[in-house]
Amino acid sequence: MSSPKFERVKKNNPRLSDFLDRLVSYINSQIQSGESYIIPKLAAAALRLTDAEAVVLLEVLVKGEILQRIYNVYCRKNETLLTTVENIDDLDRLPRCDDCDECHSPRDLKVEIAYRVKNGNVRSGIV
Amino acid sequence: MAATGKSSDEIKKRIEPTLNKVAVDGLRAWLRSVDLPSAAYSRAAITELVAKQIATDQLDEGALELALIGFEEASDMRIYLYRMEEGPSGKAERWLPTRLLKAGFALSKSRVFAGEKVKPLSPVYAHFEGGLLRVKWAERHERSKLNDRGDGVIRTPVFKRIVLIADFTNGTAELRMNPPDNIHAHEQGDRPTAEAYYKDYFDRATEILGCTLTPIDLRSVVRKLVEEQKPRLVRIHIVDHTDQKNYKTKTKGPRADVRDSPGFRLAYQEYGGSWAWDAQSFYWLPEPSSGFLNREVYSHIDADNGFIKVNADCSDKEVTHVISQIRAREEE
Repeated sequence: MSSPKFERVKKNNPRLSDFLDRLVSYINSQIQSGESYIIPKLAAAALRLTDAEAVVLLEVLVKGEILQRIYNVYCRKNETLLTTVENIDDLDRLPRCDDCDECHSPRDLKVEIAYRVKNGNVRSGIV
Repeated sequence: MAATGKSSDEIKKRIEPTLNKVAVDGLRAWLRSVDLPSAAYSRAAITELVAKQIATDQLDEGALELALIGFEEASDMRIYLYRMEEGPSGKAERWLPTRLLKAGFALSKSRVFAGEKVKPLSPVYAHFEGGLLRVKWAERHERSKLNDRGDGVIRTPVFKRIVLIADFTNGTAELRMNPPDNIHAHEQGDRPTAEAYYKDYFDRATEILGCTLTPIDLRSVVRKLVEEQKPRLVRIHIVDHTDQKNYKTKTKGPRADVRDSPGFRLAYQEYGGSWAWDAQSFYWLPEPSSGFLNREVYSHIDADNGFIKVNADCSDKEVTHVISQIRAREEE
């Protein structure tokens, strides 16, 4: 059974309805398998979309207050995930990179946009 | 005295500085493409051979020049591929010359070498024929590195070329740019950055074309190239992907194809359908290229950052073939 919020999003975007159903089904399966956030390129790969299409669909769910945008911060050299922050301002307070044994300057970091369920119980999915 | 009225020595003296700018492997590939094949030629021997061929009218100096300009416009390039959308209405012939003039270009009848231009975004030429626009810029950067003792900096001037190719018939565009060195005039905040350099040329290309440049999705291109096995178009020696659990895996092969690794094959069969392809290195194979390639041509596709990188010894013909193969696998 879909949540009223999700039904409202589909009603406001009738032409995207099928895509949104597929995306939400993917999000739920990711959450059920223990993932705490959704990465656009992985959603795109699983659903056979382009990255840009996946981002557009995920942003529709952000606008509908189902998801929230977060930022995964990686060490550019080793590509290891250093932290996940909710706000761009939090990028000023990053943990030390253990692989490089130093505190990186912004130019040594790579930031990836990701999404997670807003104010929801992550374990139970979004619909 | 040769048929052209010039001695081989005179020609050699004239063409030597130009040939010196092209990598030996590239020159050998070009010689094979004009039916003068040999893997054993050194640079000096190649220069000697080419001068003799020109002196005896077996090779046209104009064709040589065009081929070498092609090397200059295809070698050591980061290539960004776009679709042109929402451009000006009417034929390009009508509005393009004005836009080019605003960017500092008068339409030229032929393509030329970049020379040693210093200022950023220095116009070299703009050529428009049969719906195909080719624009070239050049500029000088500096490469700085510590000396061997570590107590001083050595600065070397390095010349960069940037080429915009727009096909108005098919609505496609590509920007080829030599990667920047560490000292240049494209600044972000108070320091030069590669991002600022690439952005300045992207912005200038957009101003000239007057349209939205939408990047093509390279992940789906990589997926198709990995899937294609009969025949294999490429030999893949580095595969870099992310699985649905966000684990990144990099597989590097020897001189073979990573698809022949039993470990890779098992993982690919089980999970490959949902991998996000991040960055791969390919060798494009000559056999299935229908004569476009006469050697294996390297390219690196960085799908994360949306560009293709080709090496320093590529001809325009080779790179054009690679780009056409990538475009043929683009998702609509």
